[in-house]
Amino acid sequence: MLGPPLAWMLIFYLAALAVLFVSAFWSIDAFTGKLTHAWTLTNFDTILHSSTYHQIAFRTIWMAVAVTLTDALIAFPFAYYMARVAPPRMRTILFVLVLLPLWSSYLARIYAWRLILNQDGALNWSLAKVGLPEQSWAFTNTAMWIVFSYIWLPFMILPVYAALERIPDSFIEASRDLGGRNWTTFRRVIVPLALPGLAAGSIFTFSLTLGDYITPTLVGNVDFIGNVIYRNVLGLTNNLPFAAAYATVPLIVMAVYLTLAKRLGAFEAL
Amino acid sequence: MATPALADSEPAAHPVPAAELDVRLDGIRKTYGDVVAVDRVDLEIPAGEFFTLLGPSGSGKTTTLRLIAGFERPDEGHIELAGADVTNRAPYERDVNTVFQDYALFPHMTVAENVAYGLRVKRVPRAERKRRVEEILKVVRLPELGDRKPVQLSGGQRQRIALARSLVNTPKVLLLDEPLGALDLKLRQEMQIELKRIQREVSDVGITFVYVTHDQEEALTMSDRLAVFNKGRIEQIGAPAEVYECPATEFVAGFVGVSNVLERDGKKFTVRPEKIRMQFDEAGDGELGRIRDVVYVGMFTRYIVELDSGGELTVVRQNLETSSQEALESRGKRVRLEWRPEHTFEIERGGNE
Repeated sequence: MLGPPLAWMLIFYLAALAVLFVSAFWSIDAFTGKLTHAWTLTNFDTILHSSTYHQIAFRTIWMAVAVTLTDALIAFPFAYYMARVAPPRMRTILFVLVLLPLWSSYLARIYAWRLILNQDGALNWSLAKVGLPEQSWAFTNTAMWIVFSYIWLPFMILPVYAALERIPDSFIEASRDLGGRNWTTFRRVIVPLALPGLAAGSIFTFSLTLGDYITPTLVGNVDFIGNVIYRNVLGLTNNLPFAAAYATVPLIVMAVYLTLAKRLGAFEAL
Repeated sequence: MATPALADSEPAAHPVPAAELDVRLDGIRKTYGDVVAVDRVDLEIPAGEFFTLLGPSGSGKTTTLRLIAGFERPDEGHIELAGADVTNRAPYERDVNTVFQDYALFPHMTVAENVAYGLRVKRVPRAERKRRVEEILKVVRLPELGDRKPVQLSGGQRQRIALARSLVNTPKVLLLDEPLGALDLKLRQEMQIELKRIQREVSDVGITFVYVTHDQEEALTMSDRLAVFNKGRIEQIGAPAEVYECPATEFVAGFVGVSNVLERDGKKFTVRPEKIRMQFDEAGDGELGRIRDVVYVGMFTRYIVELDSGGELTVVRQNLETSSQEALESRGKRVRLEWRPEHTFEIERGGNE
């Protein structure tokens, strides 16, 4: 039964990746801008030795880590309340609230955040109302961190909720029965059993941040891996081989990340 | 350890028997909305006893167990453990441990970590923890499985580990919620014997076993005493033989063993099927009737006899000489049933069954 889906994967996914990888070893003619099919390591050489591209890569990874941690911290108590405290009706309402943003356009939501974070936006207006100092986060990494954390939050809440909801009541009763007070039970039983859910959610938040190029374009002012690739594919430079080479960076990072997540049992939680 | 509360009880104020009680329920009532789960239950279980709460599902036996464990709080009444009122104490403040029906072994811990859990949260030093875990794994006869994860164990092994995880804490009272319910018949019978062996083995520290089951045979084989639950109330408390031979109510007569209830002269009484002698000649004392149905069970045959003066009795006969063919051919035959008057017991009308 594994045959057809595997063939599908090979043709449409792995084949595309292979073409991408092969094209990373090509280059373009500096004068004509035409693609040269000669094997060269120039692109990788540039990426490995240019401090600009290092910086961009580390900035992106660092942002992905920050967003993932932020979402985990916000999602856990929320998911815990949904799964183990809220009465059924409340749970349904919260579910709708979590999913509702996903039904609206992603672009519309990012633009909405632009309006909120602008110098004369809703946030500064509210801060002024309550007498707090005005912020100037618009088009900074802080703005990106906030917007990224906001848009990917549902992808963290749902797997964590699923993991928490699956813990049988008898596990918690057993822990209390054996002498575990509430904090002990939480730390030794609930958190470890929710960990696969957190790992699964982090795959989404981490990889989505790593690959996104729209948010950095709209609410940031510095380059992220996604922007660089985007500019080289469709921008003025039109250097497809370099875009392909730089795209291997997030691919390698994700491969490492998935290996770690697998160890935490993320795939059993999905 | 058998009389632990004696030390701090004043001899004049507390008579000795009260101190030797491990569990005392006094007028316990528990409702869920309109449903009365447990209705004014009184119970006294002396230290070291194997006590069974027997009843059909929804009879309140599991709720009673959960009240003793502290997972539920009663609406009315008091719960005492070893002389101390624990009605309002949390489960982690009670010297009881529970073996859950689904075992509730923590999947993210190894067997040894599971068993050590109670000692660990009570900050027992590592060396002692290790020693006690090894010791109890020997008692349940699974000494080499410490490094496995619960998913790698069979049902019977999980059952033993769940037992070890509770026993390692040497609680005053061990609560068992249908612990053998998930096992197949053969394994269940093995574990019944195992459980009794383990209870004897830990008897020097004096652990009281409170066992919940809906299986009357299990209750009769294992218990020192048992309480028969029906609709949130206790219908009868007594030793297995007492409850089986002289059921107090019609419900008990039916639930423990086969319901053999006759009404004669406005009085109801019961007689156990193996106490009835069935004769194929109609001359003599006893009740006359006709065999309505025959069930061949191998070791014995069960006959259902319709009596001329009304009512039905089940009769059990060992297949000493009869073959299955002969037994089955007796259907429809006229018979005479005899029993000794001392084997009949008059029962209360109660039991609302």
